[in-house]
Amino acid sequence: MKPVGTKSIFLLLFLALSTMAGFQFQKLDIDKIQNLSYEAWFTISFFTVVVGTWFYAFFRLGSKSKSHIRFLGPSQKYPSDVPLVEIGKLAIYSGQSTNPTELPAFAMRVLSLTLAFSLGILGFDSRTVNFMMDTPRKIANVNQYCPDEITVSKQKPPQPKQGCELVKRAYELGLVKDLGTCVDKEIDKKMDLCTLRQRDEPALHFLARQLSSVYSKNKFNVSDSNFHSRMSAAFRRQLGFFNALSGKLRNVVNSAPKASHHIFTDLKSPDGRSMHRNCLSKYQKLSHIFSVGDDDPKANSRILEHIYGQMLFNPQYDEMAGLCQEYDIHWNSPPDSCDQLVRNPMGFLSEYGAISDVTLVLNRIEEERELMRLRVQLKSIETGQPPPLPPTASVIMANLLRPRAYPTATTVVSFQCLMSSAGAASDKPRMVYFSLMGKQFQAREIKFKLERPADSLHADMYRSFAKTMVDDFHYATARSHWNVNENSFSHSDYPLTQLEYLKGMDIFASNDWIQTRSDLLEVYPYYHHLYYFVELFREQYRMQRTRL
Amino acid sequence: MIKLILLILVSICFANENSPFSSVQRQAYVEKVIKAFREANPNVLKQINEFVDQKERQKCRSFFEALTLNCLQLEVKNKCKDETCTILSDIALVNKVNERLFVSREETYKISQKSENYAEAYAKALSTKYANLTTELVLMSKENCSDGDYKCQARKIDTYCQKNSDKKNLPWQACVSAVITFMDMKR
Repeated sequence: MKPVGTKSIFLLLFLALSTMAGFQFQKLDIDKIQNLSYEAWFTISFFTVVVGTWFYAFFRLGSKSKSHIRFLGPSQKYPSDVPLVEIGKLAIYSGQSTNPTELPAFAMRVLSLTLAFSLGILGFDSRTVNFMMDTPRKIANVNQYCPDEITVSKQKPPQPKQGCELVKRAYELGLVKDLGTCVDKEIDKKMDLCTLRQRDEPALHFLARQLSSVYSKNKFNVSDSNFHSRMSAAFRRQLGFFNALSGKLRNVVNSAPKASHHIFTDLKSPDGRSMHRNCLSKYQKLSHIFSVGDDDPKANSRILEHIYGQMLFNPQYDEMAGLCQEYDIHWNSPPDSCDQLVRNPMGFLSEYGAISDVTLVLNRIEEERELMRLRVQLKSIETGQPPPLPPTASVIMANLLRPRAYPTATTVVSFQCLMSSAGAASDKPRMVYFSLMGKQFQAREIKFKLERPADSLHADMYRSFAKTMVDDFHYATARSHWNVNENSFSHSDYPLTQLEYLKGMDIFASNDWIQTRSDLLEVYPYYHHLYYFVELFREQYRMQRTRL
Repeated sequence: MIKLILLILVSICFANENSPFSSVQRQAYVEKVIKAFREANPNVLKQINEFVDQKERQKCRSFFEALTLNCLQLEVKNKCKDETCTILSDIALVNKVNERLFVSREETYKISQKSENYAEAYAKALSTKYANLTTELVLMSKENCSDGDYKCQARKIDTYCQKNSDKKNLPWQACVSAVITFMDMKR
């Protein structure tokens, strides 16, 4: 075999390693790359150009290597070469040569730039670039001195309150004893203790003060005679929880999911992918009304995806129900997905690529519990008091009854099956139960009626989705006082005023007759009703599902 | 038999056009409103607006929008004896119940804090919002309508308001009323 130049071999090897590391640390995820800040992009580009060019020039990648690598089979021998690795009958040899096979100079330049880009992606992200940009300010703060004089900012004199002139006059005359809300607020002259360096303070003293402030922030009293024994006890205790502590750190650095919610549907994927994670920008500005073509074969999938984004993540409404990266729609799932989940949860979730996230989140719950125990024990060491008793039943009940769900296995991990039905939609969900990693789970299955694509409101689909995601979902509109029916729109006078009554005509509350009035649907204030529906859904959802 | 089928097909095709809120009917009504505004005596218009404003603040004040609307409708029905008054009060009424969509509570509060003449400042803020909407309509519409072409103007307003109601969270009727009111203000 012809000898290959070491420069080419090592460049390719480094590139492969950096790319593998990029995928391993999820730095090359399309979502993460898309969400890099402009500053991060600038830094990575700058790094790529400078380091890539320097790398190319420093290692003289444009000229031929002076040594080569040769991959040899069982019967080949080159006495002048030195064996590097021998695996069975195959071996890699290295030697000196003047004219080994080398990649062209242009390819070497491109590869060195690609390697630099790959390293840039590995090393820089929005967070690290922000840290870098903030560093000069932090350094500058070290040389900041306390101001010589306390200067009270010159504030504008308070504006006289409207209607207070007479009250003040009455106060001056002694007719009233109290100014009430008409009293002028005094300028707040509160002084904060300056901890920066004093003008006449020696640098060493300032350093000592900084060190002592670090100690004073320590939970343990340094002057205490048991300081060292307590510190070592705390350290030993932390060592005992090493796995949980390191796991937490690893999860934070990797931005690991804090919840994992899965929706299985037998509809085809609207964009050809089995799962979608590219969601951060996707659901930012969804329109309220969503229309699809009559002849679109994936009309129902597109509608479902729109509803999914609208109900859970559209920030135009109330607080988002969760982080979209922690949700997955599994398109093209079998119609009996929920039954398969019961029969073989591990196998089924592995098949659909859901098991890694689910396992990670369930492990994180355990880690959180461990860390909670550690915190209690450390507190006990710190105070010298015995650890507190476990929470009472009333405390547990208070946690369960609060308006937000408490993070447990079943609130941070969930499974839903939303299956199409040629017939009527099922009003009540079918519940199935299964055990996964020692935890009991339930999955909810709803059969929804396929939508008519021409209908742009999709109220039935919205209702089905809500029932799939929330246990016992109920929607009660607070507009009974409107007292509107079809006759409200039959008068010949005041047509614009009549249309105002559409605000009381909620299609989500089963006013189905309006679906037959295409003229009213053209001017229907859809967003008005959708807003209440989504808000109510999210309110109920937050009581049942959460993230760590 | 063929005649019968043709009759059914024709009636289906035109059924939508004849429904009271179809695009054709809406544009016809908007045209009528523009015409009524152009021909109306400014004093009559002012009186109607003041009447609606006064009733909304006094007799028809309610926590529930539906009750306010019902009450105002009854009041203007009792007051108006001719068609022009009915049309003008229809617009005044819709404008009144949708004011909150144009000037939010926060903005109202700021106006009340900053201005000496609240009513004047509020009217100015409302007029600015109407102006923004009308400017957008003029900029976005590809159709150029002459001053006297009410039909064209009505079509333009209806199309714009229908397209943008979803984007702006603004009901069609509120958009139409605001635009027509502003067009009349600038006359």
